[in-house]
Amino acid sequence: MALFSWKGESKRVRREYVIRLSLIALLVVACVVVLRFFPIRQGLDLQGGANITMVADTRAEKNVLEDVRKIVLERLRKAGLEKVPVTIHDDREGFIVKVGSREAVSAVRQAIGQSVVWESETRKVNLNLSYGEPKEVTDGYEVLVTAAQEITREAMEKAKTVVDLRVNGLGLSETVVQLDQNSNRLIVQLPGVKNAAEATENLVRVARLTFRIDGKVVMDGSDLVRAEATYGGNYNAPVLKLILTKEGGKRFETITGQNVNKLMAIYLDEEMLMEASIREKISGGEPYVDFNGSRTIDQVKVYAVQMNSGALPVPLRVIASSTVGPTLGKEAIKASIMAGIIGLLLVFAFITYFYKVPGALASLALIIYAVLALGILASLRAVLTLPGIAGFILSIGMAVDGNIVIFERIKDELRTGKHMRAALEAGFSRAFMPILDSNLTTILTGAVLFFLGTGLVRGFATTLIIGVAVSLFTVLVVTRAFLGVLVDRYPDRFARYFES
Amino acid sequence: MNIIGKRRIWLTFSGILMLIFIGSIIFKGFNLGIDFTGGTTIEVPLPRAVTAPEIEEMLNVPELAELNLESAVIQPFSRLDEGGNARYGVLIKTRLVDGEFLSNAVIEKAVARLESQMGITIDRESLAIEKVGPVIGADLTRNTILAIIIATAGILLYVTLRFEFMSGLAGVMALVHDVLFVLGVFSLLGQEVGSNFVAAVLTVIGYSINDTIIIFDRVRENLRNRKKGETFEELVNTSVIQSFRRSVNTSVTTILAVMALFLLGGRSLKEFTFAMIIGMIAGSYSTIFIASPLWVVMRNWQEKRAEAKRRAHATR
Repeated sequence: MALFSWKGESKRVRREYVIRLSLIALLVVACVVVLRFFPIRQGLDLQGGANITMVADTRAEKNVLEDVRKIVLERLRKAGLEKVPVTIHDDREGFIVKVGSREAVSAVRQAIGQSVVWESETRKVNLNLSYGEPKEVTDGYEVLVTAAQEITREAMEKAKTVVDLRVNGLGLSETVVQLDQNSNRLIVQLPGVKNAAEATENLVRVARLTFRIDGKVVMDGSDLVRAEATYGGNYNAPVLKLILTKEGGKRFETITGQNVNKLMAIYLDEEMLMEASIREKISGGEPYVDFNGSRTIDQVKVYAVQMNSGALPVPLRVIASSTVGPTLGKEAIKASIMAGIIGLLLVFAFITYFYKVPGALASLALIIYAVLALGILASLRAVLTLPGIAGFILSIGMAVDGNIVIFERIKDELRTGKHMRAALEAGFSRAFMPILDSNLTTILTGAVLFFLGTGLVRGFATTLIIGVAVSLFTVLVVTRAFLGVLVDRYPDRFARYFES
Repeated sequence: MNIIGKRRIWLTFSGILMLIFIGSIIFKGFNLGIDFTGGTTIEVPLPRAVTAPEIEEMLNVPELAELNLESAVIQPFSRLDEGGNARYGVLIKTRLVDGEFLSNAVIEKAVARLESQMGITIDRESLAIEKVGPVIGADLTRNTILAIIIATAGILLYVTLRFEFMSGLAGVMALVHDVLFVLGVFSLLGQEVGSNFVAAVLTVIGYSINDTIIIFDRVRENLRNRKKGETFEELVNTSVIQSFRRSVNTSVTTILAVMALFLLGGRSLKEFTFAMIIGMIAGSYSTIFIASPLWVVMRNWQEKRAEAKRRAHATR
């Protein structure tokens, strides 16, 4: 028999396997290219990143300060100090009050007091006033009265959640967001970020709220006064009430009139918060989004928080940013990579020892598996961290298990007296169900963890889902193609490998 | 080999272990790491670039035991100042001990130690000391536990649909066994628990259910070709033995790989890989000795009840 002659039946089989093998090779090459040009970003623990400290910007807006200045002047007038000049600080820190003598300072202080409340139709701001040391100037003394907005702990907690969402929307970038207990500071660590300035710009930016129909922006956050979670609709269930500006209300009326039965989506930057169908033309400027009871009041409250004040409950400003080294230490990482490689080699040695040539083929399939999984993670711009690696190890374990299950099944089939080719077919089809079931359960678990979890749980879930999906592919397609082509060519030899 | 027949032994053994573990979790609790407790972060500016092991070595002295260095995180940093010059330093993050942040005296001692070791003076004004909250706060913990419970319910549902309710219940009980096993061992040994531990526990859940389903599939297949007179108990026993080689081979290979990481990997991997090894051993054991026997026990119970009902019906 010539080396490369094929029997009639085998010719078709061979063509099929050649196509499959070339497809696999193509995928591997694609993944290698991706990995070459877009290497996997490593997380804070593995690579370090940017360390950013932010504080709540307690300064009030210019127009608020202008109103407050009037209140301050009024208070001074009531205390008989109408001649005292009050100017707004250039950097919006507060006011500068000019007095004739040191002794007059305490009188001014008493007159103005410790706090001012500013209120508009939509907002209420508590300003705490504190007094600096009097500074001598040419014709008297200047006192800086700092006006700081009261920042509640609750508001900082919300800011933390918003920042967390903003940096970790996809769950791929494993950031650390911590709240300092006593100084109302947020400390954010971003993995793999070299340019901290660029990263912070995104964090403190007040997000843009847009309303879109068919992907086109029709209204934006400037049309919204505020969003509220309340009860209403057909079922008196939780709904999201939008209170629009006068202009926004008119615009909303026109838009809804023209787009009845279409979907309107609400976006925070490029992330869609919700989508609602327009039932009819809505006038009055106070529409609501009816979830028909599918959301709890707490969930709707989260939407409201996200939409109000451009998502950040308090304005933040960056006070320090620096680049930090990995938390795990470079030496530890080197040792761990070495250990990982040794572990993988042990796995190869073990399955090759137990399953001979088929085991070696499975090892090759595992290498392909690793390249594919890493390639996909890289193209998703995932950040690899220790929990991510945990998900990866589990999926490698499942790929190994899949191979072992199939090999054992093929052995069983051979024992019943089947011919090698038939045993291969039967082995794969019998192993299909358990492998599918176990992998699907794991993917299901991963999906739940992804949707409900945050931070590291999400990172774990992402790599797990991708890893398991690729492992399923490796076991059922790659190992199969390898074995198929070789068993077809050398059935007797493979029968011996499997029977030993 | 009659594994299922000796189920009383395995189930009693595991039952006692579970009681010990639950007791330890309730009464002894966990040795929570910095991710769960938060703590003090000290930012120390230094005149040159340093590495984490270098700083660790300098601070690793008995006088500075209060730093709790083994659970601390040391991160060197660099930044450019306004003038464009590189500034170096190190972030030392220590965890809360008995709810206390680091005292100024300890911080002073640590800074003085760095000064004498590096032969430099550090301006005390330039130290930034922050008391930070946990990375994994109460919210995140609650969230994660909720996610795990819902995921478990999902597993129960899936296995019930693909197999039967009793098998789903048995699988989930084995899963709970494995998770409690890891939690219990960590609690008993007082091993530190950090965010990576959470990832390891999640891995154990995945491993446990994967391992169990492969065996249950054998049972399902053998049920289809059930011989006359074969009891469910015998059938499950046969299935377990048929897939015994696969179970052993898979467990040995995966545990081998993780063992290599445990023995040779860096210090920071120890907690994580140790939890995985414990969990994988528990998972491999529970598939054969807990999940399969439990399925038999519960199915027998179910059949007995159905039988009793039938009989009650017949006598009426």
